Amino acid sequence: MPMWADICVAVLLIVGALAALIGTWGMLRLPDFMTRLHAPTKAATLGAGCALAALALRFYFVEGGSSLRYLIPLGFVFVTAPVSAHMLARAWRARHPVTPKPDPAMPSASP
Amino acid sequence: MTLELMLASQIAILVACALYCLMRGRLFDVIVGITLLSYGVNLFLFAMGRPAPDKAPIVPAHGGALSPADYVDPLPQALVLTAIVIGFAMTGLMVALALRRKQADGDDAGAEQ
Amino acid sequence: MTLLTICLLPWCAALLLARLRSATAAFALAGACALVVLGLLGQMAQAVWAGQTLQSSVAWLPALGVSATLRIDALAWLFATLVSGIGALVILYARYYMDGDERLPRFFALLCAFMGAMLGVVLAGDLVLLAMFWELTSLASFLLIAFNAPDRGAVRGARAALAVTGMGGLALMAAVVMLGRAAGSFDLATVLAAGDVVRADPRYPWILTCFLLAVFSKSAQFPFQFWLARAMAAPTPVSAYLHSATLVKAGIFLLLRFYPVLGGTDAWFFAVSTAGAITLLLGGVAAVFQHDLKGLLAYSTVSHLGLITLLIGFSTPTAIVAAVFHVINHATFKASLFMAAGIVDHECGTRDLRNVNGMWRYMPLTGSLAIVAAAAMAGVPLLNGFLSKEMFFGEALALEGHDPIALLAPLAALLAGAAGVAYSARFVHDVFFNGAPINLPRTPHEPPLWMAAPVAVLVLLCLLVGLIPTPIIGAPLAAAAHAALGGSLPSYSLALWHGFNGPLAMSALALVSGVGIYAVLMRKRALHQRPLPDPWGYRQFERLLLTLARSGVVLVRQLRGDRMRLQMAVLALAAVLAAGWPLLGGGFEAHLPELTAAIPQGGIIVWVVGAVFAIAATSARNQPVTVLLFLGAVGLAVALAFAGLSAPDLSLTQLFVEVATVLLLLLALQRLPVEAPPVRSLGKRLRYAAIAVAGGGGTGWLAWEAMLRKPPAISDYQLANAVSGAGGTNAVNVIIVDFRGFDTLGEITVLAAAALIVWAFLARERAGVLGRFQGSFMLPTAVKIVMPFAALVAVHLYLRGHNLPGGGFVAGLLLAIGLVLEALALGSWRSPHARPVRWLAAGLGLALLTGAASLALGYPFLTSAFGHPVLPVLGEIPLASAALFDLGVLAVVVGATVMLILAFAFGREEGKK
Repeated sequence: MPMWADICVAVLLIVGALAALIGTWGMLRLPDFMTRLHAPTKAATLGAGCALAALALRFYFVEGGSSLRYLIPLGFVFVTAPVSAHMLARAWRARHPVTPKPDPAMPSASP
Repeated sequence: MTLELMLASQIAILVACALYCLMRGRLFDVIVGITLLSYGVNLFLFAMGRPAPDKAPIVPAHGGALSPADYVDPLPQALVLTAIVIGFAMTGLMVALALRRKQADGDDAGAEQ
Repeated sequence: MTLLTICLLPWCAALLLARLRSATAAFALAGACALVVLGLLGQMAQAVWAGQTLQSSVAWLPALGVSATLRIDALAWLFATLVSGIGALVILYARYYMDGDERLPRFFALLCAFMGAMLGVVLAGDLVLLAMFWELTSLASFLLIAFNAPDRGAVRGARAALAVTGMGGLALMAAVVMLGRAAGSFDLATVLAAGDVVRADPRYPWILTCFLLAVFSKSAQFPFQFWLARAMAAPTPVSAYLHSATLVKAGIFLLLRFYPVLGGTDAWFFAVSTAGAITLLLGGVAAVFQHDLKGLLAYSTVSHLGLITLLIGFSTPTAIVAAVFHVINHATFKASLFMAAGIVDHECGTRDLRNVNGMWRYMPLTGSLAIVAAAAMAGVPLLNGFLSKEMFFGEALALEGHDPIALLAPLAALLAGAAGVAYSARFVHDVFFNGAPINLPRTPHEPPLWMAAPVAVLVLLCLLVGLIPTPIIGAPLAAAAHAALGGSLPSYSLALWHGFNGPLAMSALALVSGVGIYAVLMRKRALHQRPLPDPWGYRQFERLLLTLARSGVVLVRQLRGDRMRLQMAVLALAAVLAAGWPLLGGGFEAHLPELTAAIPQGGIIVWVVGAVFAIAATSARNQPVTVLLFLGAVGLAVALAFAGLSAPDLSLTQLFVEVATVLLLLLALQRLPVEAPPVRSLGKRLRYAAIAVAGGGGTGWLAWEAMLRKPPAISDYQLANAVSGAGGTNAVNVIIVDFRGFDTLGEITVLAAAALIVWAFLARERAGVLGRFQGSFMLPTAVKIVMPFAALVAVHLYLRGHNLPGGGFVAGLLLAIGLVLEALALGSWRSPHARPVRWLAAGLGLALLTGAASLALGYPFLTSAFGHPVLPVLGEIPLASAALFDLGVLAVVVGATVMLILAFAFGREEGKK
């Protein structure tokens, strides 16, 4: 495993861990639901993405062969994380109907 | 601190927490307690196989004689595997029963007295 | 063959009788049955008297050494003749006693059933058979006492009789099993010959205790005497038959039968004679003070049974002869007395001694018969009672060796004799003389001739035996006593006159003092105004029953479903005990060398996560959803622990089950509002905590101790044969689908059953669609993208399961979670793929078919076959029939999981029904 790859893996891991840490911290510190929602979403996408990318890189060099299968989970995370954030937001909206002054950008979704 | 002590203490903590929840008697706590208890019991059964790292019971495909000491006991694992799934089904059953009972008498005072 | 007929005939008759309507036909059938049995016994008389033992045997439970052996010797013959002979007379008597009662066929059926049971007890040649018939006599007696069922007295009497004799039956069963073990056989003949072995056996005290419990309860010996007095609620023919002549003699029969085996020891002497003496005196005194005619006779029966028991307790050969003799005599005079009492009751409408007086004027025939019988009971010379009582006095005087008893016995005998005379005198004087009747419901007159006939026959026997004993009773008595003794017969004389000696003096003294006692009580002490003596025993029995019932109620209240905390506490303490028991008893066995494995990387972190979140989940202050998240964290820690400790299959399963559980509980929570936790005092919480810590600590300790030793494991074989025997390298999966496939079949069946139950429970309110998510666009789209991948991963996990971590359970869980998400996203439980019932059916069917296929090929159920065909493109494919089975497992897991979760998801909302 060449040096540059090693450094890449290390950087990816550190960035991922930092993202996760910041996301978690944000979830604890941010004041209301909507702001709290966005912190872990980004953290999950970035953190997990970096970690999985590091993994794929490392196994490509260590084991040689295809490391494509480590990228499949990455795809899953990218697809599911925004959707779950979206669903959480919808659920929150369903519970807290919009105030009398409607926001033109967001059609009332409460059924 | 040995591995055995770690496992045993984890089992002890899980079972103690489970019992405490169960004794509190509220329906929700009972569900939590049963779930915790199933963790503890599964770990207990698993521990009977004398677990150790890096000894997964997956034998070489065409190897001749093998030494059992190189693998952990697979039998408790097989038993625990089915126990985990059945435990899930039992949790569902219990909750369904609770739900039915609540519908029958209107509140979940069931666990009280 | 004849023996079998004797034993079965009454049962056949009973079955037929139960179907009959006509009283006359029933009478004819029952009477014929008794007479045929009597005739068959008569045929055997000569052979049996000559000392022969006839036997017939059918194999019954050969593996247990139990056979249906019937056996008759002189003792059995004597009792069988008593049973059938008095049975015949009682049937004749009952025909008139219960004239016009439409229940007569039923009555005769029960009577015949009792006769069959009693003959079975007497003729059984096998201990187990004996115990069985013994139980049947208790049951028949119960039914007969309860014949007038709604009547309170009948029900209570029957209950007391069943409780006491049923307990005795259990004791007899225990005694029989131990006796059979000690003697090495259940065969009566073998047991009878093994007396020395049994008496030397260490179990002898236990055998004797259980045996005597059975005998004393049946024969109404102290402290069980009370049930007999209560049994007088039965119709009088029953009292005459069961509770004077036969049933209560079953205990005596057993004492005589097993005297050669168990008798002759000091324990036997003290236990039997003490019980006999107490019963003799208690019954005698109680009889004098009864105001009920049948009560008087019942207590006199108790007293006479005590007398016989006392004689057997004396354990001398002549005492045994006297006991056998008195059995015959008592049966004749007491049965006739009961019948006479029944006539009085029948004619007067009451049997209260305070009202029934001066009957001599109304029924001189019955009166004279009853007076003779009562005289026999009192032991007046020229009657049979006199002879056996003389023998009894003689035995009491001749007793030596055992000091206090040797001194007390003659005194007790004299006292009992006097009491016997006193109650006999009361019976005669109070009923037939003593002024005029008071307030009788009807005017009495002589009974029909045929009703008095049985009494006359029995009284005639009393007279004949009393006058010319040897020709009448000599041969059977000698033969029976010989059989009972199991050895040589002592010299004794049945003569009426032995000259002036001790026994004669005692008889005279007893007669004079007995009459005197009665006269004093009647004239000076106003016997009629005296309250009934406390029926000792019955009150205690009632109290015992009450206590038992109450403790049952308390126990039920404690163990009932809604006492969860208590149950949990018991559970926890049981775990503590299970761990602590071996430690208390000297500790676990020596430790083997410790097999300490290295702690895997990150193990400490996993441990801390598990511990912290488990403890956090117990806090009641958290939101339910938070608690569920904590639970999920604990589950994750457990999954990581599995992964780190060489159990990848478990890890995967735990992970997926965790997802499924959280899904299920979240869905359930929205319909199961969690109320605020109950407020509990600190002390209570501390107590729970203490119990919890003790229970958890005990479990942990047990695990710790178990992990420190390595017993030989069957899995060594399974590891070694996974490839060669089942064609798979993943030993866990091979065990699940092959080595223990049958187990797994059972488990998936349980899984399916649980899921179906939940489905059925919530089916009533299952709604078609899930309103909340309607209108969403992103989720269904995302699911459509992800779902095929999830299915692909599931297939992958399934295919590699036999060789690498994976398999049907894991793949099924993954697929199920995917399907559930799909159904939730589409907002309809009718999602195209989630048809849980079909999945279940297909899975179970496939698993069963796989098993059945091997059956069809001639192998045991679920035998697997495997091969490794090499296909052109895909390379070598491991192909095992177990893979098909695993596919069945997969389908069942999919169906069950989908069913369980969706059942909660698509329930109608609360309050919107």
